[in-house]
Amino acid sequence: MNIFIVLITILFMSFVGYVVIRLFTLLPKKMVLFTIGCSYGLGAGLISLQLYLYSRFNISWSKESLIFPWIILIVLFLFKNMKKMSFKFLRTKKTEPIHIVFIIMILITVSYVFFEVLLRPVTVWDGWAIWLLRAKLFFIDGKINSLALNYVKSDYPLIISLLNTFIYLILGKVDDSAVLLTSFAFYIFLAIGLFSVLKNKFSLTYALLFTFLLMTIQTFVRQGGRLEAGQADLPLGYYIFISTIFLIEYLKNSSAKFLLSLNIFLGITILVKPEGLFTAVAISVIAIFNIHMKKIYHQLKFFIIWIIFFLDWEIYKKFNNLKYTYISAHPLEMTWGKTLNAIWGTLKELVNIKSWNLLWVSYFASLLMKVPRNETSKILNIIILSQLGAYIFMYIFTARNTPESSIERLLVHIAPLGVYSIAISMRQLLKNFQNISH
Amino acid sequence: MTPLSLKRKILLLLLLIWIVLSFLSVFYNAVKSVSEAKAWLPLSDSEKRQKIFGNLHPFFIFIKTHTEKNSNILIFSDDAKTYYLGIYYLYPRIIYTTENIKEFSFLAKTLKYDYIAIFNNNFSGNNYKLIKVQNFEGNNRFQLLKRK
Repeated sequence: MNIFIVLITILFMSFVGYVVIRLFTLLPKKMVLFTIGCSYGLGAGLISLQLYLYSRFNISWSKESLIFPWIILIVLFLFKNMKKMSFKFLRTKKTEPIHIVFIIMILITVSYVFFEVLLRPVTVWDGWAIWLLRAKLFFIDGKINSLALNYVKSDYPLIISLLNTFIYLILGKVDDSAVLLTSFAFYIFLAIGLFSVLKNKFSLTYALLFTFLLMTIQTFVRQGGRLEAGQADLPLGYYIFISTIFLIEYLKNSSAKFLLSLNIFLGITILVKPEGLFTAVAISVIAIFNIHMKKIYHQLKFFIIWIIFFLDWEIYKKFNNLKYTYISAHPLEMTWGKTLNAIWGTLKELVNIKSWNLLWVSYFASLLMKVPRNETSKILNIIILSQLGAYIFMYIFTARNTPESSIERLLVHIAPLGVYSIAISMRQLLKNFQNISH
Repeated sequence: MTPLSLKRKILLLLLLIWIVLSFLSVFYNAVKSVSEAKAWLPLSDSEKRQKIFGNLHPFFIFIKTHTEKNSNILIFSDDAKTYYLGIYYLYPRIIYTTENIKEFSFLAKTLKYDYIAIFNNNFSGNNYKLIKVQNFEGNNRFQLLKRK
């Protein structure tokens, strides 16, 4: 029964995200599939922020008070759009045998991940020691208790823990098996997001192929459901991917709507894990450069959104005297041994076929061979390499940080962009193959 | 052979190997799901947790069963997972953990704790009385003492 309730809750959150995108036209109507891909992330982010704000303003976390505002929005949306709803995006011109093969393979993988996520309670250390631990504490306390945050020695942002608290509130109890379906949902909606972007640019075969390649990467299978579900790395990978796609779309026509959506997603991204801040800065620098080149300075105001999200959380931590900060746990320290280990450990992980298949080998091969690139490809590379560089920098300059303990998780943040980048590089090389690309 | 065609061949080969590996991983996972199902499905929720967390699972259940919700508990255990897993199982009870026997003896004398829980060790203090002992599989011994 709990599984069913959690699945319904995930659908509800996705519908909330979908309705917000549609009502405020955050995306063009024709991008239906991408809207669906974004919907879960936006819904989950907004509901988590709602819990955060309620707690800040001492509003009780009752089911009614949490759900009712969204029900109003949903009713309003249905009232406005009932007659216009269309499922045209589900229709395809022609299904070939190769499509059926990829779809079957994807469905087998999805079934396996779903089966695995329900097989056991949370297993991975970060799952029960950080993300679900705080979710449980918030649920028991009925609010965000800063004393509890000090007790668990954590200053990580709260979005993922609050998302899981919301699930517990709906269930009326803690269920650390069923709640892992939130990780499974990130796995599915990330795949939908990647597929929609690829389908928009390339053929169905090509889109299915690269979606299949992403979904069968063993690290994603593990984070989506098998043993490592319940962490924040897959969600962060999802938000970084969606934010980067918004940036790419924004750069095409400098649309204020895309910049607004981008900044909302960046605001959520930095509240998923601290590493999201690197992405927010890198993406903002690129977007601000575009603003400067086109002299559309009035668009700078949109960046206030994610900066407010960031500052508010920092101020909350200061005012509530959270002692255990990332800096206090990882003070500055640099040695040659650490530097070599940072580079060597990262390189070793990049060629770890067991975890990544040939994702990183193919990515760096395409990079080193200087495959002709388009603008999208360049943007993807800037985000991927700046994020990776930031992680290596952290390993070199901070204590108690080694690739052995975390690089596999950190690469999850940029792997979806890596797959997308390879898809574009291959497209450049395969232009003559009529059957594969347009 | 032009440089472009060489690039194309190398990248296509990598892509091809990647596709093959992905197909193999689908079959590997499908086969693995059978053995995973055999290993996990027959287990009860408690047995699953013991398989994941070892004897800390029955230890924390033992503490939870015999202590009040808002008590302070000093826990002696040399398992690195004790602190965070202890909070995960026992909140809103407030716990303090140590694996250092000297520190443990010192803290026990401060009388700040309502209970002392010990995993595989012995303790006797004038101000605490032994209220529960449980022997667990593999010569594991849990003790719970309450402040007098």
